Amino acid sequence: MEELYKTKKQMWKPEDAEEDGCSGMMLAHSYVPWQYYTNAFGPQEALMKGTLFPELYGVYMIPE
Amino acid sequence: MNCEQQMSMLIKVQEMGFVALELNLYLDTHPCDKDALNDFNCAVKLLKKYKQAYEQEFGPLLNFGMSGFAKESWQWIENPWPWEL
Repeated sequence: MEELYKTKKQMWKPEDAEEDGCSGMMLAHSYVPWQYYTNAFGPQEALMKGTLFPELYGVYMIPE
Repeated sequence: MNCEQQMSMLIKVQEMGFVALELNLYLDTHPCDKDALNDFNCAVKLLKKYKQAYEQEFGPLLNFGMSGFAKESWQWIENPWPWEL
């Protein structure tokens, strides 16, 4: 693990770069719920809302 | 020239183009979803139909040969262009 980390790091970080204090830390993992196609907006509504998929609309609050 | 009709036919093209785009992106991650494949093909069929109807009436949507052959006159320079509506 440590070996792999070092090799990866060397690929993008110049050798004389300052230590970033993250050595030995685990990489972050991201999780995305799987999408199922069960419902769709009509073409007009889809273009207005910016998505064809009702489950992807209004997920985040739109700041005023 | 009937701008209102031109606009409404262009909007139909844009709306169906967006449906095809959305299903395209969905299929990139769900390539075996039969319903999505079916609906994508339906959308493409309709998109083609709406584009043809628009171009028949108002001239090419694209230039550089992407909207097929030229007619007797060079329609591309006839106003308004799709983005000028």
